[in-house]
Amino acid sequence: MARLFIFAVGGTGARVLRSLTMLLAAGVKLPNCDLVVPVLVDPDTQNGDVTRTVELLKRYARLHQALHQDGQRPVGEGFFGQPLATLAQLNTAGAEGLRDSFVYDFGGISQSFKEFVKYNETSVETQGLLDLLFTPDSLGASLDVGFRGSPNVGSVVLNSLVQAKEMRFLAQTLNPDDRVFFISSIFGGTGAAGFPLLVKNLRDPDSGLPQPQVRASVPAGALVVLPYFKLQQPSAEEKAAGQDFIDSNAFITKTKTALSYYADHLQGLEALYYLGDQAGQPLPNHPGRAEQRNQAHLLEMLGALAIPHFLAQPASQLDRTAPAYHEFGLQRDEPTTDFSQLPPALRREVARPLIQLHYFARYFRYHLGDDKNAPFYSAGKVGKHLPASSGPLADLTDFFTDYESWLRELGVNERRFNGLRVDEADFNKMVADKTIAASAWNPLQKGLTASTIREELNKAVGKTTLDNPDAPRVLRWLVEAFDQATASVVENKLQYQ
Amino acid sequence: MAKILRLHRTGPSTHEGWGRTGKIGKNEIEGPGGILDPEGARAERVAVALPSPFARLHLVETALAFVASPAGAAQPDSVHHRLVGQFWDVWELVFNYFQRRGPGQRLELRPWRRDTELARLRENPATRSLADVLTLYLNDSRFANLRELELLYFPDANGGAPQLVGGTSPLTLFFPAPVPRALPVQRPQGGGFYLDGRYVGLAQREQAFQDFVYQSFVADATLARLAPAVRDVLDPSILTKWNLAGTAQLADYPALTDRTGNQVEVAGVVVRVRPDEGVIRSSDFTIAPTRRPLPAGALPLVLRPGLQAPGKKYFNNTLFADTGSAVPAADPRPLADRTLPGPELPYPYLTLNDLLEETLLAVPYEVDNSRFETGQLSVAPGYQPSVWPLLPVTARYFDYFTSADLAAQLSLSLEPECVRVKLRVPVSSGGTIDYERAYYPNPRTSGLGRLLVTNVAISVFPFVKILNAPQYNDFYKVMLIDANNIDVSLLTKNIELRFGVNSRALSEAGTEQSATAYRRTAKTGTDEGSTYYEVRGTHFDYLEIISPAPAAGRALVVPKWREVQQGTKEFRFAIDFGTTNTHVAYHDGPNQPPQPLAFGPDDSAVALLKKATDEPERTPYDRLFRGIEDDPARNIQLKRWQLYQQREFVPPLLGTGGSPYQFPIRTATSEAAGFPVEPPRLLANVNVGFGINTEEQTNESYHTNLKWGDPSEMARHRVRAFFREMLLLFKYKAALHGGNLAATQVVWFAPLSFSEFSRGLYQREWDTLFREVFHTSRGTTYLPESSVPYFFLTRRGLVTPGPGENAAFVDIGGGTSDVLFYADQPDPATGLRKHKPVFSSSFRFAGNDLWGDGAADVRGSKDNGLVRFGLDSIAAAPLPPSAAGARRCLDVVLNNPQFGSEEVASLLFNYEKDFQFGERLLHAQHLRVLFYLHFGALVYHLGQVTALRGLAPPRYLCFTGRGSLYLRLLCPGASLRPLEQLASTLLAKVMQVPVPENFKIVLADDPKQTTANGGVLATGLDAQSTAEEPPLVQPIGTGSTDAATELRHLQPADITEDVKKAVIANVEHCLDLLLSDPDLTRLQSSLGIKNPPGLVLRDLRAALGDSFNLSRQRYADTLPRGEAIPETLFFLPLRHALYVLSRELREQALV
Repeated sequence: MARLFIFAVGGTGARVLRSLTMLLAAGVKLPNCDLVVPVLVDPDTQNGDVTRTVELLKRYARLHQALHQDGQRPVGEGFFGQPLATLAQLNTAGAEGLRDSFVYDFGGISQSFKEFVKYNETSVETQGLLDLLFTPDSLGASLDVGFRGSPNVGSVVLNSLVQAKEMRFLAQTLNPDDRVFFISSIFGGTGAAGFPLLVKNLRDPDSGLPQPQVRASVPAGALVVLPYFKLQQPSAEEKAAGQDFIDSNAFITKTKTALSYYADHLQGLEALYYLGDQAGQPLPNHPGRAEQRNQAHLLEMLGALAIPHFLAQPASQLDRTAPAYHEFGLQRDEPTTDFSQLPPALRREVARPLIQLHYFARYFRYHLGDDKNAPFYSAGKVGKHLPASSGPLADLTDFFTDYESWLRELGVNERRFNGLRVDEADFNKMVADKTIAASAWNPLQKGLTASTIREELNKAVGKTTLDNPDAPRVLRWLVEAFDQATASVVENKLQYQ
Repeated sequence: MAKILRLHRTGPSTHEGWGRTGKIGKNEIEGPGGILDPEGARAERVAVALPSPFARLHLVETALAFVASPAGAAQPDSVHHRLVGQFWDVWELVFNYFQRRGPGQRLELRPWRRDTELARLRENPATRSLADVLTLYLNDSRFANLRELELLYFPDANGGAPQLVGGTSPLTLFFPAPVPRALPVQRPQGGGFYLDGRYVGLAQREQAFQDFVYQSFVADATLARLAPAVRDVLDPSILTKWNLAGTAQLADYPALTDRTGNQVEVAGVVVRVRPDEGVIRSSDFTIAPTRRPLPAGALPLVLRPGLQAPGKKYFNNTLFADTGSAVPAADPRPLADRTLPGPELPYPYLTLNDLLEETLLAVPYEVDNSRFETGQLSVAPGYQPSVWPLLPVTARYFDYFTSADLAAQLSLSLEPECVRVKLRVPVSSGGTIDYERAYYPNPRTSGLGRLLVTNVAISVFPFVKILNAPQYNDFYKVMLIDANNIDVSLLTKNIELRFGVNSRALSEAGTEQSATAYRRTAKTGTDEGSTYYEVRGTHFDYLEIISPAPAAGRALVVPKWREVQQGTKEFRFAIDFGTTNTHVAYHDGPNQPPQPLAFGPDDSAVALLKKATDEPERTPYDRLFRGIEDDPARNIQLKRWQLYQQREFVPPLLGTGGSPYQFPIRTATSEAAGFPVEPPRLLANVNVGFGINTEEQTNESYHTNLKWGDPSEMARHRVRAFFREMLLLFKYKAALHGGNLAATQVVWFAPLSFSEFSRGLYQREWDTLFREVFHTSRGTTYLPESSVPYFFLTRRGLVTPGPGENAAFVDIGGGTSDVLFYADQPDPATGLRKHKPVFSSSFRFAGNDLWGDGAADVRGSKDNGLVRFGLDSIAAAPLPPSAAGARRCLDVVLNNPQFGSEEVASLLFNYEKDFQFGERLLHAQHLRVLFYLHFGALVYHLGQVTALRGLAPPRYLCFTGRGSLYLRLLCPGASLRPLEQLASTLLAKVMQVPVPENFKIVLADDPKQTTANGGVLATGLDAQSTAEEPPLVQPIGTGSTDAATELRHLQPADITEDVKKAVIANVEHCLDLLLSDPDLTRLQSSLGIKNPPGLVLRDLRAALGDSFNLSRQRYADTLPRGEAIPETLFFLPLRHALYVLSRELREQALV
């Protein structure tokens, strides 16, 4: 069984993972991958980006589990088809007592960096060296908010954590046909620091981790996210008041610096994916903790697409001595992007599933309540389970709420994505790059409507009825119906190519 | 064209979706199409985006590349510029390391040693992870050769914590600290202050620095390999120019060293700096010292205000020119922190106040230039100074010169208005720089010195330095009399002394060498203060007088030590330490006659700062102290130097030169009030009381009656101090006269009555002190007191016993009389006959029983009849004016409640010339019977003992000891015939056998000296016989001839009434003989004795019983339980009775 371990480092890593989850929910395929194991690496476990992503991953995992619990639904197909697990779920032997979470357990560092390195227990000489290598701010900053754009701090802190049991277990469980992928930003703190360290520790035969040969041989890729946004800078008064902030003016400077360093010092990867963009309007400035919950962004979704791209590369073509470098091209340079900017393959493999998911979400949220008498609804005893406050159907409901937020956020910041119009109620106009022709006055030319979809749903279930309609079965009943129905309308009504 | 989502502006741009491109490398980052950083210059904090703990080191490379790039050129205020500016700042600071003036201003380098520090971090589990991550990144190839990083600290001018400014780097040689504060040092060129955040490129910096950097990269291939990022930003055309010229070389740039002196290297690249251009390599003004070794540090230049030195080189090749106007008279900075006037280069220099005081202290007497350095002193013609200058030279002078130099270099000119002082300081160019200052009593303009008079007296003991045996120069005492007590408000301000040797100040706390003070007499409105300094472990080169107001200032006193070489003579000193008197005799070779210890003007052990007056008509002793004119109106007074010298210190002369002191001396100490409660310190709180009989004022500092028997600790301290001072005097005497100190011998005596234990204690004490003072492992020599006269008298031919003739030696001391009886007997071993001691005896019947206040415990009644008679007769007629001094001394003794009749008698005899006490006694017929009885009782007892031992009467009866002086009073003529008749008659009657026809009494000429002299002469004689101790015979005293009963040992309780009766009966028999036997009474007239018949006998008989009881009770009270009474009981009835009789006789005479 080929697996993909994704290390999503820092806030950017979490946000890319959020987009990836949406893609997987839509049914975007991960080639040659039987199981995805995302690992979020961030000492700032209260980071808004991280917690949101973790919740989303959990929800996805539950939905996938509910859909496939009885083995009736083929794995890897349709909505929520990609299997996804935490490290702990791999640990069937139950060794080491891993926490069942997607977040790499750092044990909750709440010290300052100075306390963390035990500054006061070092010699006068080493204290002098530390004073030379780190600013007083860095030394004094509390580590529970991440590394705040100080990867040099991160490199020290994270290195001391690679020997944690999660990492050992991961190394122990690694197979030669597994792959590893890293997601990090280059301009922040945690990602920039953690990523090269994780690579070093993955590859270093002397790192003390198990299976050095396997670690040396598994293919690894990485997404390096360059700046694509900037943050509002505090006013003179706020600065004078000593308010905490992230200096995004330094993003580019840091990026260039880090890139120079990577150019000489980053080894051990088969493929690298660079992604960056000129920044648009500044975003609100939150230096970590729960407030750091940045709005989803097009580049995160595009970044997530590096993963299927990497998995699609045959192992035979990966060469660590000549790593493959990648960049993402849009068809045109416009402030707002839709699916038309993507090449045909991606429109087929990514846009189509997303459109299907969007129809699903849209219909589920706004039209399902009208279907109580529809055959697919009654045959599936859907009414018994909706609305749901818990269980799989509640998860689905919540997932679509998340989805809508995600989609809405994508449309806010430049470069904006509005390939799917989040507030568009007319199914004909929901896909930006393909409007379904409809005539207001010609009943035969209504295009795509809720009724169309209902009919397709009824068609999908046919004459069958759901036996033993417990919540997971009702979920599968619905999902499978939407699998077919949305595929049909995209194919026949939208006629998306 | 697709839109590639990237930041750089180069590379393929045709694909859509994820597509293959190239690595983002240097060109993509900083190349023409590289990443634009429009906001970079607005960064609030320097970005540290490198995922390495050593990010800050890498960052410098990045910043250098950026600044050199076109993008950098477009953004001259970027953070990278700031960083590069700081980078060059740090390098230039290091380059200019020596430009900082003083060592305290220079960068401090502290190494961070890789192996050591990582190992340390690894040892502690808490810091192991830090070690791991540092190791992980230090394994990077570019750190591979890095053994240590130097941390650079800039010192804080105000003594605060130094600022960390940067470190060395294996990537760019240096890197700056994060967020550094601007330093208070201006860039030599380029404007602003170091680390002020401004970007100043290399090209804007000082040419010397630019040249150095370019040469470094051309000439040092290791540097070019180490720091390519730096080399890449250098101007290629300049590099080429240096390369082509081929002149690049680094030899002129010294390697920087850390504080341990190790060359600073960065991964094999030597860190070089600008040569120390502030180093003074040569100067015409460098001091030319003579002292070795010199103090550490550079030799200072010698400058002074207004110095003109045309053509002279100030330093290196710089002329002095008119620098003189910039030289201050005083520079408050420590020498090492000074900068040269004018260029302010860090270099030490001396100026006027460093060597010459601003105040000249003068003393109201002429300084003895034979013993103390006075410089070349000249007095203006016709001017008669009343005060004389001390040396206004600072102690610092002795850092460079010796006292011999001072004699040549210092001149003082005494003028009516002022004292002009010139100190000629030799400098390296061959000449001298002359420091001059005129000192006026009331200087009216600034720049002039002030002349103040301080009333200070100083004496030094011993005044000698043994050149070839410095271990003996280990104990010096300096007496300081502070008479600045006219102004009562300044009484709490005392003059202090500081001592220096070999350009080092002696501290109080030194373990090997020290100088400590003891303030003995507090300064009051009436008393001068006296302080005694003790210099231990060394001599001293100078002492510094630190005088407070009213004569605030400092001055030096530089002794011209009497320098001697240790000789080869073997001195032998013999000390007869008696309870009452002490005598010392010595000689300096076996065949030399003994002489009493004396110190004359030529070998005085003491040096007074004051010069003796030139008054030939006066004795040398008087001249020492004369010539100080008290003049309180002018704040001059120093009238009691002599008094303190005599009472608390050491008299300068002894036994000669008109000294009031000579051996034998009264055994006494003089003690400070604190002595009983302080640790004893000789010549501080206790000293030999030479002055006891010259005190003209009542003084309670004296203590007499020194003896071991006294069990109190203070008594032992007292005796020990007395011994020690004696030994110091011996040492000085021997040293000064060619003695070999280690071979010096000291002989001492103890009476036969001493127990073995007591004598052991003495031996231990003498040996300990002797070894300490003379640095020898040998011991002292003990001789029995009584055996000594034999040697002395036989050696002198005064006693020549023939075959079968015996000789008795009686040594009468103050409290004890010892008898040693020599008989001609066959030696049991050889069979040959020889004279040897056959018995001894010791009893407490001696001088004090004539002159003292009886056997009662209470002292101080001073009513002994003989003494009262003397005092009465002195009072009866006016004394000559010449006796006024003696009279004052007498009054002092009389007023001292501690003193008794014997002290008065001692003083009276001491001033015989003035009081004629002896003369008066010759005519006191009514009292002379006391001498008669004393002598008679002794002879009577001697006869009984001799008979008891079965021996024949002696042919010689010899008397020694100070107590025997009265025999001269009893028999004043040249012939001792009457005395001999008395003795032989008495002996014949007691022993019932004829006394030899040629019976002879021998009185030593100087009875007290005899013992000591004998001790000296005992050298080389038959040591065994000398020390031989015959049996001690102590009969009970009943006169019985039954040895078994008579020679019993009695404890106080054994003295029954029968014993008492028997003893008293024997004494009465003796008295009857002496006072009633016609053969004897007949002799009384020839001895000048006249008493009413029967009177004496009656009075005595009445007193015998009480006298016996008194002494018996005393033994009962004081003798430890179980001990026998250590003497015969025969004298017990007489001891107090004689005293009672003396009072009776005197009173009856008055009636």
